[in-house]
Amino acid sequence: MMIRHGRDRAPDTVDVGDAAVLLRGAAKTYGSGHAAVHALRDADLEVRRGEFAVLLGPSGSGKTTLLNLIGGIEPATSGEVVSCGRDLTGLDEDARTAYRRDAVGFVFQFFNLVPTLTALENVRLVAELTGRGDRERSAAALAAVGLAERGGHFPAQLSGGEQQRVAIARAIAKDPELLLCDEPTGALDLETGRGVLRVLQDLNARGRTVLVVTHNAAIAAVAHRVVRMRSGRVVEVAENTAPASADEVAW
Amino acid sequence: MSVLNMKLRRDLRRRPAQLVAAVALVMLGVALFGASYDAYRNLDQGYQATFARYRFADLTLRGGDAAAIAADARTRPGVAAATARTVADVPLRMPDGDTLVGRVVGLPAGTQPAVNRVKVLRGGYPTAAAPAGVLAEKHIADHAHLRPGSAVSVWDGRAWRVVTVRGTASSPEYLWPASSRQDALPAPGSFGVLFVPEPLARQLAGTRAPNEVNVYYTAAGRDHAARLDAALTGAARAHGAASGETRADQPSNAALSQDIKGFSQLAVVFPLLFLAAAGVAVYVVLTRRVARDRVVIGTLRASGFRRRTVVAHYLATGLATGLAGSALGAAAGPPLAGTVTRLYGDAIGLPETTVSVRATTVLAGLAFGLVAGGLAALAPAVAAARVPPAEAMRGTVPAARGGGLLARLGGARLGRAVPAAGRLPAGTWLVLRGPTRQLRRTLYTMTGVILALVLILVSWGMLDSSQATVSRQFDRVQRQDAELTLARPGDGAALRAVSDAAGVRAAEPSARLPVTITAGGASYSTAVVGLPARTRMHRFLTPGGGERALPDRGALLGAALRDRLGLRAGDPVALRLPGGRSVTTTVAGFVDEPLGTYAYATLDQVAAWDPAARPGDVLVRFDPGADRAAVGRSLSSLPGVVAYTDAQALKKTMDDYMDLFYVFVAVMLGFGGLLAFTVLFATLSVNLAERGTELAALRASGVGRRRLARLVTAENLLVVAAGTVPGLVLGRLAAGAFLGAFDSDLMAFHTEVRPATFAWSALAVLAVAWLAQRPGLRGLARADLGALVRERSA
Repeated sequence: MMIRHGRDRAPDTVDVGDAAVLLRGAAKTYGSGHAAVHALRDADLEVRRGEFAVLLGPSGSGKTTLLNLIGGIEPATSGEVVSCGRDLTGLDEDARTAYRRDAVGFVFQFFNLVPTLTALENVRLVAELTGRGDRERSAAALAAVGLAERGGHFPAQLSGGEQQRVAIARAIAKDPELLLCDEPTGALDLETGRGVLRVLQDLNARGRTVLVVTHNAAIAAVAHRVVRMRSGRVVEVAENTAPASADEVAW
Repeated sequence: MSVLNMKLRRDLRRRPAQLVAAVALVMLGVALFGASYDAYRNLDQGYQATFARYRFADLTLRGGDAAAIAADARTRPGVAAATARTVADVPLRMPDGDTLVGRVVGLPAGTQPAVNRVKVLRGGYPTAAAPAGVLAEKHIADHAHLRPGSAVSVWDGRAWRVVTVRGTASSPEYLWPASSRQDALPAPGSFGVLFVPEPLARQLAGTRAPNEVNVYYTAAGRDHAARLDAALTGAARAHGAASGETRADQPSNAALSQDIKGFSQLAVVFPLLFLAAAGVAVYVVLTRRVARDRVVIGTLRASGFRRRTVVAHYLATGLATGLAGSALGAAAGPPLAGTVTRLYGDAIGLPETTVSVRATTVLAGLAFGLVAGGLAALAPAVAAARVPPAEAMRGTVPAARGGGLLARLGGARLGRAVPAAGRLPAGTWLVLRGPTRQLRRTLYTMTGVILALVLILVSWGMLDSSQATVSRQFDRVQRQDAELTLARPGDGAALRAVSDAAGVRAAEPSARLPVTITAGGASYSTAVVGLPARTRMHRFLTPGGGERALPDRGALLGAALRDRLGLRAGDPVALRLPGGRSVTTTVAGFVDEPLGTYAYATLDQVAAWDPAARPGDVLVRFDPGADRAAVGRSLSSLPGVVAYTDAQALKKTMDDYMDLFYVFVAVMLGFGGLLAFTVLFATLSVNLAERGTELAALRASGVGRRRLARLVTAENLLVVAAGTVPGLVLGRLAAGAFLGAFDSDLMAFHTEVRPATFAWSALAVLAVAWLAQRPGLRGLARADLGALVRERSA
């Protein structure tokens, strides 16, 4: 796939066809000189719109770094990163913030909910502050993850799985094109983890592109595309024509 | 070095800014303690040395047969010396023509007296060879530029007599140039003392015998001074004495004692505020560290570390902070104390200034710092020791306990109960609930605000109250613009001439009768001021806040006498008059006046008590817009007028010095700001560090840095604003307590803090809070989002 900077498009948008995410030679290096750590080297990757992709790899393989580059949390040291039709290469922090606000929803391993806000308020907070989504959409997002009745509860009053579903609701309330999940089941037991995967599959089924980072190989079964990483490199990209349902996986 | 000590060293380096700020606070607290306490001790020592060297009288007896009183005193055990001399308040005319009511004090020619010696600063001591050669006391000499050879005129009751200044001198009696306890705050140049040969003093006073006895005690006599005072005063009364005045009551000494008492008070207030603030900072930083280290502590405990080892490990941080700060503070204290002592001693012309470095002060400063650091670290250290070894198995820090106090009190239900609350933006709830999340830390943040406001309001409140006191005295109580002294008391023609003078709106006669008021076993020497029954020159403000007129009979007394003499309205009191005769009268009521403690009665009543006490003064009010200086010159030159005193001079002097007061307030604002900054910097940056992950999650979700900063700022300022409420209340109370300590018969402060002062103080602390969170916010903006979102929220 070629990256074409179209004449008739906004300056920060590019035409990458059907790709939701496209990386060409992307690299990330922390530090410099002898202390340089090459977290990601020469990564090429394409995830199509509406796909459920899983990035697999052991700890330290660079998968979270890759997720951060795609999510605009960190800039790449070199190479090109295009996501949701935006070329993230060379964007400053404000532009990356705008990209995250408009296009991306994040789900973290440890939920990162604000403990002083209720479930619904946690969802509303991001929707309000980013100006994308309203109270109704927040409530709908919470309902979409099966927590319509738990909106008035604080995080400490919810189970781990419920907290993670609130985090997913928070991510989707602003209707992002791309949902990025960093070890979303990493802190959960099997049953709770399956519940979260069900929610992600359901969202994907409604047309949202989902990218999940995990070290849990069993989760790869639910994905359309499986990207394997090792030592900061993308070592394999496999397509799965018949993804399993969340209830079928076990670990 | 043990690994635990290595951890301690690295911990100290990990968040150095907060601990360095705490060290700075301890240093300031200890340094200011050392400076103010040692300055107090130095000055007190300087006074004692001056009193010993110049044999400052332990007791002064006035009136009666002075020679007999002195002779009697000399026979008493405990009395080292007793001398008789003549003292009189007389009009003086300076070389530039200015007139004032001053004092002539008799001295033996050619030799210093055995009691109340003087230090000749310039020129020579009076000699018998120059019977009209006098010494001018330092203050009036400086004000009127008197030097050897200057000619000063003295009114002897019949005519002006010219005396020649032989030199200038300072005296332990006039280190502070107060003419009486009723006039402890004289305007510069409104009072002056001439030390004159005793024969000349008698001529100027119009007496043939001395009228005052000064008694100096031996060290043994001073050990039981109260008994000796009472015995000598009783004996003197038998010889017709009107009053006795102890060294403690002597106006100059009393005023200076009150003044340096401020140093001893600051020696308590400063360390208390700064060390408490340092304690808060240490506590906050350590509490956060213990929370962060829970897994490590659990691992240490699981590995067999004893509780006391853990306690000692965390206590060491507090002790190190306290020791570092107090060592620096203890080193800075003595030079500061020396500077303050020298500046103060020079300002009042203290002949003997001693500056000592006291090991006890240094050790006390070190102890204060160590105790403050240790106490602040104790609770977190004990909490650390209580972390169970099982904590090591969790692997992660436990999540926060939910929505904080507001949630536990039903904050979530509030939305359901009050629909409007439910419609509030989630960002508003974030701001509102944030402070209740770590309630203890929020309370400590508020404590920092309170401490800062106490410091600011005590100093700014002192300025406001001083201004209000002066305004109360000169705008409300005292209505006259000037006081004139007549050559002949009761001179009706002179009074009429004054009334008719250009620029004069009103003039009233006034009499002043020195008395000693006695009730029960207690007595108090003051003056009865006689005024016309319906005087327009004086308002009589009552302690309840009202106003009343002069009574036809009896006297109104200054409110300080209520407690001092145990009096109530309607009680009978005895007035001992200058000749030794006593009259009995009734307390008609009390007046609440800021400066001095006088008694007031009608002119008729005064005349009834003592027919010789004729009105010798005229109180004058000027026409609005009159040229004060021109009217003053015109009145001074009237025949029959021998002295002119600008009644508003003190107020004008205070106004002139207001810039200096503002500098003082600015310094205190600086200290208060520093104090607030340190505590708020520690608490707010710890807050931000603790919430880094969740805030980073919001940023990762696309919330802009500025928007996030606004939310955090709103939350922080909400806490600070909440702290300003108790801070302003406690600051006002502290200002009242601080000023109350200076309340006496010399002056009575009403604590009055202007609304603008409250507003500016609160705004200043809010501004400091805004600044204090900037480093934390900048850190958050610079934070590695990628790393933060991978960490678990604490």
